[in-house]
Amino acid sequence: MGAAIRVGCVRFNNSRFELERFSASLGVAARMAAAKGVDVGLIVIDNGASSGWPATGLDEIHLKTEGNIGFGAGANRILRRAMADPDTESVILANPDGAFHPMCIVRLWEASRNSPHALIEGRQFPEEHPKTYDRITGATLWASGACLLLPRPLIEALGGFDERFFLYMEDIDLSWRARLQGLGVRMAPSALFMHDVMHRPPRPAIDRLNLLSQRALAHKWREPSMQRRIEAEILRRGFYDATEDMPELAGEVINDPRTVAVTGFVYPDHWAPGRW
Amino acid sequence: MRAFHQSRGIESAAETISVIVRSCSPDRLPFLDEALFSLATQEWTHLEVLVMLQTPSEAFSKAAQALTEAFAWPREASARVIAVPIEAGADGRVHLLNQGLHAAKGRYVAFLDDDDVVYPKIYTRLIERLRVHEAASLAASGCRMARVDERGGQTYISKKYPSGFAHAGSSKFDLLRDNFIPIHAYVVDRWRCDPAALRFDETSPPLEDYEFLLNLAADHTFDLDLILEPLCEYRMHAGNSIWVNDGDVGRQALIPSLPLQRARHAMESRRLAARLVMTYEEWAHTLGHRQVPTRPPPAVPPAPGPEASSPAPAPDATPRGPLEVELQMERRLHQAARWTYRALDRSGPLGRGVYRLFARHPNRR
Repeated sequence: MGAAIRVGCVRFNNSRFELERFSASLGVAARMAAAKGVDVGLIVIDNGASSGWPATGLDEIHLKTEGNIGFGAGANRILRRAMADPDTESVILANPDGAFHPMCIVRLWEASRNSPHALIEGRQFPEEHPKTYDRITGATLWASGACLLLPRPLIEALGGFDERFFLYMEDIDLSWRARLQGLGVRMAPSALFMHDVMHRPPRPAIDRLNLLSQRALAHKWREPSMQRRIEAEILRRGFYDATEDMPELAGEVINDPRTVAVTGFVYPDHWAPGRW
Repeated sequence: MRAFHQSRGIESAAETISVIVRSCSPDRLPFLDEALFSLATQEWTHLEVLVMLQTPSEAFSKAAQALTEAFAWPREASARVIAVPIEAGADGRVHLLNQGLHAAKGRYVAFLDDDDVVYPKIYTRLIERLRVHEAASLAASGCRMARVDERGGQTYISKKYPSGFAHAGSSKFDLLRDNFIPIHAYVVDRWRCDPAALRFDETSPPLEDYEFLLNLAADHTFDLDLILEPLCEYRMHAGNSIWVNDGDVGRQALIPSLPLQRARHAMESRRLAARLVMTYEEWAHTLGHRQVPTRPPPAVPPAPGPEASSPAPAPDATPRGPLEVELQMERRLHQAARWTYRALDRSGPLGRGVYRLFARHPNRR
């Protein structure tokens, strides 16, 4: 019998230390889940040249590397492989530079049983995202892909991530599409996932990709004023000399009057109201 | 000092940091869980984690043990729970720290209350500072403040404050005004310390950590290069022993508890009589010259501290000599000394020469 939960991991040039920490924590979290009768497996795809993979003791599937195809595309390969197994109920995407709290998978699974059609986000630790969430229901405007449970019904309804977003914004786009279809987006605050995003050195190449994804998001969800602001920032940062030099914006554009109720363009700092 | 520690079999633990975590109540197990998770995911893996429990019941002991063992500790790390019997009704928090210091085997030592957390790079960064700054016995980082609400056993962080305690001070001298270095924001190198200084005064809770820092600051050099960089978090909540909810519901503020207010009052006379030894380097740091006198000063001086009566002097483009000056100064002379230093500093080589005549010669450590 296959695993009820598949943990999916998109690696990219991760160090041995990161992978060992991730694997060790996954092993512990999976054992805790097994004690509750939930089988956990692992699917990995490597977008880069990471150090060898430490054994987790779980049922592991390593997908063939296709080079750096971006996070969304890598995650979609994982989702397709997971859904090909009829026993898989949900997929937890997790960043390989993070680490699971021993009870993380159990708490995500419990939250998913309460909201079976919702995206469920594990709370990042120690520096969680400042966006607000409802203290009773966990409802929030969008869920981060750093530690994210996607149940089978949601994956089948939404078809995975939009691959026009190479890096960043794909999780926000997925969350808004989920809400547009009446599916839930929830935070599971007791499901902790260590993800250290502080004190990172400046990374202009990553900033460029982030801004280009923001631009694509604003284009897709028909927010021209936000798109212009982002393009001005791209030019100010010197990533391109002119707007015409920026990548062409292609792909589906969402024409739905309800988008104003599900998007968070009015909150450009966090894409949602922030607690700080 | 090193021989003292070698005789206790610590030579082999030169890379190890002992982290003393104290916990006094099973009600705080959810907080302890997060504190331990923050230790289990540290970048510095040579850890010895000592969870000190105050007179635990069997249930509390078992629960703390299960919690500690549940984490995926790195190969080089160890974690154990130590039960400390304390007289019924007594506040044993300080005794837990001293017992932890006695049990610790690592060269480096740090502390963590059960309701706070540290960020993954803190020990790597602070131990690196101690290795670079060979005269320093203590390295401290900044600390962020977070407001935590608890309802129904769920932790909800309602607010985080970016600057934390930076408003209260950034140099060793600022300790004479108030404590701005939370107990979990620093690492001590025990090989560079007088063993007698590595003890908390069990008569001064809840400010035992402040007393500890003042004692250490009297004769030891601090490295505060990272003081403006938050590498840990101080979590304020109503269950904290020193903060309580303001009675005014509309304000929803936390105010110092009565024990904290009494302790602060008692500390006032201690603070006025405190003596500090500061190196010339630490003086320069206090006044905004963030580099040692032998190196060229920074191009843009940092903003002056809250007590500055005038803007920080423009950096002197001329590298200074290697002389280190140790000063013994009582608090009431603090402001006068700052003015004098700046006046002499601005008057060039003659002023600096006069200044050195009146300063004690260094007793290098």
